[in-house]
Order: sequence, then C-alpha cells, then structure tokens
Amino acid sequence: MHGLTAAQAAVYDRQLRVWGVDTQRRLTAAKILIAGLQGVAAEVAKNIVLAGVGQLTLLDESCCAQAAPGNFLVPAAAPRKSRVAQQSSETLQHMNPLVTVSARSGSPEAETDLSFIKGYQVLLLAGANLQTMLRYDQACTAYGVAFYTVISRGSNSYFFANLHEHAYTLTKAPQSEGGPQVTEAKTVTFPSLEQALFRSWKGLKLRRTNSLFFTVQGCMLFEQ
Amino acid sequence: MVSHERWPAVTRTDAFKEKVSKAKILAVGAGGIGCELLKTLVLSGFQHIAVVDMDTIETSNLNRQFLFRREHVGQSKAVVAAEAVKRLRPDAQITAHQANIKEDRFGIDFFDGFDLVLNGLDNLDARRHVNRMCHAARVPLVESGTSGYTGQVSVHGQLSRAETPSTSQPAIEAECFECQPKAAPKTYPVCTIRNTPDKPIHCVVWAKEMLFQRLFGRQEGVSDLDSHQAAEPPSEADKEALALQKDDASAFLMVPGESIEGYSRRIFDRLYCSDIKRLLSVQDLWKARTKPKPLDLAELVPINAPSAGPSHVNGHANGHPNGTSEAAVASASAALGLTDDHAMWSTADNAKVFLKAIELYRTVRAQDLGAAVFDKEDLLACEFVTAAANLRSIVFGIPTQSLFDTKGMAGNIIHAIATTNAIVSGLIVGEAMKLVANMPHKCRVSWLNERPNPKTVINPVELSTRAPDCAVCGPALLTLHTNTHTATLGDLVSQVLKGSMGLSQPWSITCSDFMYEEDEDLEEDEADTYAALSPRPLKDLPGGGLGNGAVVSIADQPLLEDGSPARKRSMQLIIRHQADWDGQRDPSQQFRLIGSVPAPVPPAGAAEGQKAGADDDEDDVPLLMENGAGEDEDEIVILPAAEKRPADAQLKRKAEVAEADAAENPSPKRRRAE
Repeated sequence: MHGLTAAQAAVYDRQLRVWGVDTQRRLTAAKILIAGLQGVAAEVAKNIVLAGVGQLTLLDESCCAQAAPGNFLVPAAAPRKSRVAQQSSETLQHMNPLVTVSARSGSPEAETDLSFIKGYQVLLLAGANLQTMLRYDQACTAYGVAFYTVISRGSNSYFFANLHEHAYTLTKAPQSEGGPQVTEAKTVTFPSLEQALFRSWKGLKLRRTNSLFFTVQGCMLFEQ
Repeated sequence: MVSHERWPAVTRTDAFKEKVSKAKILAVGAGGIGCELLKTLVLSGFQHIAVVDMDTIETSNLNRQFLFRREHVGQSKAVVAAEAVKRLRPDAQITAHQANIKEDRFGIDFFDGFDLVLNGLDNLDARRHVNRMCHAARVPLVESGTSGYTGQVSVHGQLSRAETPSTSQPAIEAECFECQPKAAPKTYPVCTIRNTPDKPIHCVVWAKEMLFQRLFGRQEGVSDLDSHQAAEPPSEADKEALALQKDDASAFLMVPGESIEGYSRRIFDRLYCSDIKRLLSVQDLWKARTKPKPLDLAELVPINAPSAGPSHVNGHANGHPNGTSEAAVASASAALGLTDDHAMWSTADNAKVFLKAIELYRTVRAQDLGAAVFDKEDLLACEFVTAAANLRSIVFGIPTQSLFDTKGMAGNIIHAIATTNAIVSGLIVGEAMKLVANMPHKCRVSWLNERPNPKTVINPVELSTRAPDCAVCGPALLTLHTNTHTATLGDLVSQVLKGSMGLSQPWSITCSDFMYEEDEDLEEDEADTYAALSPRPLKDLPGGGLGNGAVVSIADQPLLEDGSPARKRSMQLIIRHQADWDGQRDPSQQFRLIGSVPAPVPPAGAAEGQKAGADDDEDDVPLLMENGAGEDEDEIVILPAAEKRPADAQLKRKAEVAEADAAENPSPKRRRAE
C-alpha cells in the first residue's frame, strides 16, 4: 500500500504528480500553527490545507467586523462578533475535509506562555509586532519548531524563515536527457530573527541588499 | 492617454480605485487559475466580472480549485465559482456563463463590452480563439498558464486605445498570443512506435493509440500516428518490418466459436510473441540495438490456472477511487488484488491484467466494444493500457511504469498545485491593474520558475513588439459602420472596396462560407453568380450574411508606383451595424470606414534596405516608450536572468509551457459534447 486512503488519492491526484507519494505522506503527518490571519496568512492557510497537511491550528482572536480585508476565509455574512480564527477554520475545514482544522482561543501577542507551540512542526506568525516576533522566534528555537514570519503592507512585504539546523537534499538537473539525477545531502544553519535584523552593515553587499532591509531595520529600531 | 504617474504609488489613489471598481473584466476559465483569479480580483476591488467556463467540477479539481466543495462535483464551474466569490464580496457583480467561449453568442460585440480579458484556459485552441476575438475587438488580453511549479503570465494586443484620430498618442500594441509560433503536440515516428521503441512513452503510445483502438474502438479510427513528421525517413529495414505487419486488422477480431479466454490468449501471443519473432527476422533492425525477447504466455499464466477472483466487478475499497461515483466499476487490477496503483506489477501480473481487461471489455463492458475511446477517467482503459504497454516494455528491455504513472502519460495529465495558480493569478491581477491605470509601459511578461534562475524565482521581461508577418494581428484591421439591412453588396464593392479602399485586381473578400472576388480571369458563370448577389443587402448574403460583428478577410494584389506588382496584401474588415442610418436618403453617407489601408510593399526578396525602410513606419516603433516622462527609480527593473537570456531561449521556454498547457485537452468525452 502507498499509505494514502482512496479519498486522499482521488483528491490529491494532480499534486501527487508534482511531489510524489512520499512528500504527500509527510504533509499528511504535519501539524502546523498559524498565528494572525491577515490576507497573506489566509492565502498560506488555503494553500497548505489544499496541499493536505495533517492538522492546522489557527490563532486570531479579533472579531470578524475587524477582519483584515484580504482574509477571504471570513465570509461577508459572518456574524460581526464571531472570531476570525473560528470563521476561517470553518471555511478551511469545508475546503478540505481530509485535514483537521481547529481554532485556538487567544491572541498571538497576549500569549505569555508559549509552550503550546510544542508538537507543531511549523509555525507562521503573521502581522505581529517586533517584540512578539522575537519571542516566538526564540520559543520556536527552544521547541524545535520551524518558524516563519511575514509582514505585508500595501505593495511591500517581506518574510523571514528560521528552520534552525535544516538538512535537505539538493536535486540537480541530470547532465544529459534521461541521465541519472544527481542528489546531494546538504545542511544549512539559519540565524535567529534578532541576528538577522540587527546585524551590522559591515560586510553587507549594499548593491545586492534590498532597500527594504534597511527600512525594516529602521522601523524595528524605532519600535524598540 | 497613457498615464505617467508612478507605479505602484498610483494604486493608492482614489481615482485608481474608482477605475478598478468600474472596469469590466472577462475571465475565461474558472478552473485552477480561474478560481484564484476571481478571488484576487474581487479582493483587489474589481466589481464587474463575467466568467465563462463550459466544464463541470471533478474530484481531482478539489486539490486546487478552492471555491469548489465535494458536494459541487458534477456542477458548473462558472456558476459555482461565481456564487462562491459573491459570498466574499456581495457587492461585486459576477455573471457566470456555463458555455464554450467559442460559441457564436460570444462574438466581437460581447468582447467589445469588456475593458480587459484575462485567460485561465487549459487548451491551445481556445487560447487562439480568444486571442483573435481580443484582436478584432481591440481589447487587451492577459494570458497565463501553469504546470507543476512553473507558470507564465503575458500581456497581448492593443494595450491602450487611440480612440479618436485627433489624439496624437499612437495605440500601444504588444505582440498577440500567436505572433510567436507555438509548439505542436509531440509526435513520434511511426517506425519507433511499431518496431523499435526505447522509452516507456513509446510503449504507452503504442498501447493507447494503436492497440486499444484496434481491440475496443472504431476500426476506421486506428491511428497511423504521424509518420510525416518523423525526423528521418524510414530505413529499408523499417519499411520491411512495417510491410510484415500490413493487413492484419482482421487478426484482432474474435473468430466465431472462439472462447473469450482463447481470444485474449491468442491476441497476447500475437502481440508479444509472433509479432516480435517477425520483427526479429528483420536482422538489420537489430544490428545496433538490443534484441527484443518474445514472451511465453503459457509460462507466465498457465492455461489451466484457476480464474482470478470470484468477481470481476469490484467496488474499490482501496487504491483506485473512481472519483465521482461510489458505484462499482469494472476493474481488472481489483479483481486480481492489485490495489496499489503506485506499485510496479510483475510480468505475470501484467499478463493477467491484460487478459482480464480484455475479458471485462468482452463481458461487462460489451456495450462499449467497437466504439470505446480512451479516457483517462476510465479505470479499465487505463489498466489495459498500463498492462499492454508494460508487457511491450518488458519485451524491449524498457523500464515498466505504475498504473498511476501510465495514466498520467496516456491522459496527458497536467501536474497542478494551488500555490502556483495563486502566484500566477496574483501576477495576472498586477498586469490587469497596470492596464486599468493606463500604464502599459509598466506591463511585463513574467516567468515563474521551479528554481531560482539565477537568483529570482519570478523573472519579469519587457513585452515584445508585434511580429509583422503574424497571420493573426499582421493584417491591417479596419472597421466599417453601415446599415447592413439597406446597404447592398454592390454598394460595398463600388463605394468602399473599389472606392475608398482602392483595392486592385485580383482581389477577394471572404467571410465564413461567403466569398466575392474580382479578377479579369473569372469564368463567365462565376461572374454571373457574383453579379446576382450584387443587389442583396449585406445581412442577406449567403453564409449567414455580413451582419453586425462579421469579420471580413480581404486580400488584394496592389501595384507599386512603378507599376510592378507589390506584395500581396491582406486586411480584416469588421462590420458594425448602424440601424438608424438611412443610406437611401444620402448614398454618400452610407458607409463610414475607420482605419487605413496599408501602403503597397515591394515583394519579398527585393532590396533589403528598401524593405526595412518600408517597415520602419509601422512596425519598428519601440513598443513601450516612456514618451518623455521623467525617469523615475521605478523604471529600473532588475532583470538578472531575462536580460542575459538570448531571445531564442525565451521562445523555447514559452513554447514548452504552452505545450504543457495545451496537453491538458478536454477529455474525449467532453470533446464529443462540444
């Protein structure tokens, strides 16, 4: 057996042809947490639910009247006082019944004890302030959770990833058509958010560095 | 007027937001790209959208077409998508058409009612059609496609309108979708398929196009594949081998009195034993190749082996879900207990599936015999093709394939994930917003790569100019306003064609089945037929008439100033009906022609300098000039990959993506329904 149910094989057919059964099995076992549901986080949530992760937990206590305009997971008819995480999780659950989607009460900023992130493989923190981002990054390192954070404002956006010690396999295009694929085991060590944001400009190749980096650094220093 | 405000700062202005909310958008396709596109459009403030899609929802769509739910399977994509998007933005006006975009009702008038056309299509034929409609209606087109992790977005056609002759600004035109040739569907030389396969796909093509058709389909439909496009002519040995296989269609018919088992075993022996021995007898074929090894069926599946499984109709508990239907489906692999469609079958398993599939076609699927068409959603058809192709692969020493992989190859299934469609839809809306802002010089063609190339995953490139010899957008486009109920063919010929357009003989006009020509060498009866049509009003001419929206193709043979023949000239004339025009009262006001007839060009092969000079006026105007606007920072676009990439490499990539998309043609079932 390939380890997928008949329902999974039917719905996931087209993507199994992109990333194969092994990847699908690993996706199906993954547990992911999304904290903060701005438009870009809603987009991510949709894509990973469609991809067929095992479990997705949403954390966003704001009420639907204040839902981010880009969060298409909250229907226009949602009760104004209902919670964004709850409404979004219902939409996502209908989108793919093969995934377990749930909402956790509480807001990302207000959580003081971050031990609840233990057990997740990946955490996405979206639209949070600097202090919260730094806190979650540290906690993710402590609990071994891959950390992503994203900010999107108007036509500008950036994201940060901290996968700690990350091992992966690099697949190179075959030398000749039909030739054997060359794979290479690699590891990469990610810096923490603090190290990345507050690094000195020494050694930066200015022409190769996006000007947004300096803007973000300036904003962060100001916020601090 | 082209706007010279800053991009993307302009998107924050109220004037821009108002333009977006008023823009009329046609979205063609409500599939993988279409669902994402509709969502991103309404979230970006677009409020007037029409969506056209003829398809219904299938289970395998649900991994990416996120506006659809399990309970929608079987319903119209356009209708369900429009309803879902309205729940997001109830104030948006979404019109759904469950229809083929090629239908007559979506004529030039329909396209003319939109400011932008956005394509999310899955086949080349419909893409070409929409491109032509957009060109005729002068509506800009944003075209797109995805395959796996890769995608592309391009912008075509007339990007800004030069509506009145008084505007000094010329219309900005990018190449149309067909300016660059598209890759033809892949074909294989018939000799490779029939005599010397060396890749799994060769065996799959053989099993699907030749064998499946011969055993279960219409006899006259048996494909000879495409021997004309073979790179090399067949060798003498190939010809000899092909001759050995001639006239053998009758051998695949069941002989009276033959049992199903006897029949299927006889077919097996012929295909994998006696035919192979015959091929081996052509010794020249095997001088530089590995010799095929015939299979012995008696050894693989002994004749008296107990028949496999109690039942040959199994509801699938595991392995091969039939998608929409919970009902039992005929399945050879299920009957044999081969439930993992990713597993590799042994030689004996392949032989058993081969025999079982023939048996099932002869029993539970007997109603399909003689008319079966390969369909990737038909489990039994996929099983047969998998087993038949694998057995041939084993004979020729080629690796075998799983049922899952064979289904993908035989059904030309496009690999698809939601993320790629979401990115491409975002890029489409970005281009749409530049067009709405009237900043066509900001438009880009974008490539989404699987790996950074060399540093970025998305590569934007500047738009290309029109190809002067493009068959679609090359001919000059003119519009003729007239009352088609009162103006006659004779009026059209004398006042417009020979009058203001000044066509020179021989010339002809055609529109679907209608044709009219003038030439000194016309036969007498032809001239009489044409003369008889002269007094008829335009709308009453044969072939449906020249009514509103008709596109008339015009060809003539102009002369150069020195009296020598110029290059043949072709134009397109669009008829616009004006009901309130009364040509009876003032015949000189009967027609209004917009557009100009191109000047005669010396024939190809004339002095090069002359030719370039003539073309300069029209075609070599730099397409997307800034026209004197201040150079701002935004203008410097970093194109690390694209700028260094030679043009032909880009062309090749474009052709590749186009080919991949085009491959996902409608299934045979759907094609028949069209």
